[in-house]
Amino acid sequence: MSSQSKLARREFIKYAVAAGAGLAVGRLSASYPTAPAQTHEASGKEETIPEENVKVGVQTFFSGPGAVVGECLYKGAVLAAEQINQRGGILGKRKIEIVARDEAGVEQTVKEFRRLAINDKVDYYVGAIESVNTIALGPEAESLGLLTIFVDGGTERLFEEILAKPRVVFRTSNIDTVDAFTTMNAVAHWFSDAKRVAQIYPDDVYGQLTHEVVEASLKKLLPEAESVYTGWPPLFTTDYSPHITKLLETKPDVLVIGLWGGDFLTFYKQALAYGVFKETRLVSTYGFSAPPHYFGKDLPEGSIMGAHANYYFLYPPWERSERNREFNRAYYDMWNEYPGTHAELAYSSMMALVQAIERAYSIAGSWPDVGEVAEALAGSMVEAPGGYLYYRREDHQAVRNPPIGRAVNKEEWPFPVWDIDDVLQLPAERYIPPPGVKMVDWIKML
Amino acid sequence: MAYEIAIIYVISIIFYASVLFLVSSGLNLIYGVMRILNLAHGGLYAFGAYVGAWFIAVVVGGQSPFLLFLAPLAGAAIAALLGLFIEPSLLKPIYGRREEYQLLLTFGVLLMLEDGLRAIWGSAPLTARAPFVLMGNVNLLGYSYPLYNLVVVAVSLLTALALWFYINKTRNGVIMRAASTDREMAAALGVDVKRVYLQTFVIASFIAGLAGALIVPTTTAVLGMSVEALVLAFVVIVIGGLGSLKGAFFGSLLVGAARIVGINYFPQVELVLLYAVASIILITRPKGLFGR
Repeated sequence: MSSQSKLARREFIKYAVAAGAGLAVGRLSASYPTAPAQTHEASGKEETIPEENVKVGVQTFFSGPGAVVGECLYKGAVLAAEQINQRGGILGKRKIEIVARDEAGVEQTVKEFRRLAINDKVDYYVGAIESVNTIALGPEAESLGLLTIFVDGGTERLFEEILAKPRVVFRTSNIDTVDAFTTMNAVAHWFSDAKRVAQIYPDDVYGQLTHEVVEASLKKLLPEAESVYTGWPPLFTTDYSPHITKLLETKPDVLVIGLWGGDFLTFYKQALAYGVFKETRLVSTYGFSAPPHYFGKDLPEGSIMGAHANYYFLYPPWERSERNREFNRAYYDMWNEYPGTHAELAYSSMMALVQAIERAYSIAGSWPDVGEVAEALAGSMVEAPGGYLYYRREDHQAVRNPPIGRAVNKEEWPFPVWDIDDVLQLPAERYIPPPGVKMVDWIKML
Repeated sequence: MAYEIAIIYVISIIFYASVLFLVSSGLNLIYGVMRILNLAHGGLYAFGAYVGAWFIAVVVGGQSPFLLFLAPLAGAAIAALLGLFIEPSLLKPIYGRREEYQLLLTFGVLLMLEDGLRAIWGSAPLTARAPFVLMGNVNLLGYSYPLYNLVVVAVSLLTALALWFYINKTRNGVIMRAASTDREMAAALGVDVKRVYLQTFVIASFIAGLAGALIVPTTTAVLGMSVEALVLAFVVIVIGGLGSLKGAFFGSLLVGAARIVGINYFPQVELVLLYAVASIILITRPKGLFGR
């Protein structure tokens, strides 16, 4: 790494420290009208902070097509840890040590999770991408008493059915179904003339929930449109030609795709070769959550490219959001690429965790236990690169205004990007159902 | 359904089946001759895919379109080299032992190959679509169809023919069949069985690598593809019959056709469909359609 980029990073650390301090004493701690951490240090209580490192278990896809989004989760977490460590660690004392583990099938993921908790004795956990895994890990985390922030795995079932009253489990990404509803609002906004809609989903929890919400949204937002084909390729399919042929046969004018990670990339490249997009407009709920360098400029311009209703690296626009610009700069300096959605979600999860620990310390006056940190995290707000994230007190689900945009090719970028002058950002209070309400029911109520 | 689109469906079946055939024929060849169920076969396929993608992206790097077509050979050659190393060093000690040993060992080799891929190329997926994009499309009855897919079909057919010719019409093939039918008798008649085994394993590895490198421009090389391919190859083998090349051929076609019919008429059950077909075959013909 060049000395220049080191310098840039150091400069960024200054911002991070300033931002962190600002958060600790600023308006965000308004709900905790207690003295900030410094008071205790001044009164000689700093010896209550243990010396050893704080271990954070990070679990994500390091292999398979899921690694397209999984790897940047890890990278985002590492960036956050490094920034915290550069300023001396949590409370300026305890450094963060990341223990990384693979996310795979449910059984393997749970096994690795237990290993993190029992063998590696991690203090906290940040990770997981797939819904089927978070459903299994949630109860496990509660019984182990391991404070767990799921980066993704956003099925609404987690906090609706499985953990209706979570104690130590939190989730940073929006609920998955917000994705589908945001995307369909974008379709109604930009492709309001849609008449024949085809859909292709992965045969997983995400795909099934997305399909349910897309169908409900179609009825509500585009009652004239008919659904002409719905395909269910298994995860990690390598050849989509039968589905593509079906598209050629049914001639939809809009194609909604719920495939994610590497599967979306494989699909769009194959569909492109068959000339599907000459007459069909592409809509993806998840596509642009992968880091931008994965896409080629052959992606049809004007396609609606959802970023999992969470975060896209250019939004909020850099000239308007210094926080986002600095996050991207630091990330690029460290990894030589721009972040995908999960990088920001993991980074923000880490920052939320540290903020909660520090706040809990400022209340208790000693190193907080898991319950105290969870108490501080519930109802807290984090100034994340992608905008404020609020962890709801009732169900520990983080919410923020979901953005969505359309692909455009710009000379200054080697890959297609969102047309940043034309991004739809929807207000969370209308597009994210309140705790305990399913999206399909929420849509009916609107 | 218009007949034009029906023809596109049929070509899709053949395309999918041809890749399946390449993977499963090697697996069947090894079982047929050596009586080893080689779980590492998927790893060799994945290695072929990674080497192919790497060759296209790094070695050729857009220099000469002609060189691109050497990529499948590069993938096949590296896989064959790996086979040349794996058979004498790892497999030889377990010949004649119980199946559990073979399964454990070859599964171990599969994991090692996966980790080798991760160590060399990292965990991010690898794409190299140059040949696929460069060849463009042909107009088939009013539908645009990627020409590269037709090349894959042609290469697979040629491979199938070459394999058939080698096994049935050459001296080496006769020896190979003799060793497969009765190992001890063949050895007593002076056949160097060790050499036959090595030959068989290297040929099968070559075909697996060829399959991987051939298919990679249409898709993505990812960790985990070895297991995906292996599972599908097993479905083919269960249907077609263990150890039979004819079985691999018709099994692949049947799997390809079942998939298309499934996607057209019962898209919700695509995931379980292949296994349902395999189960029916297992119940009605436990040895598969052409099993020995």
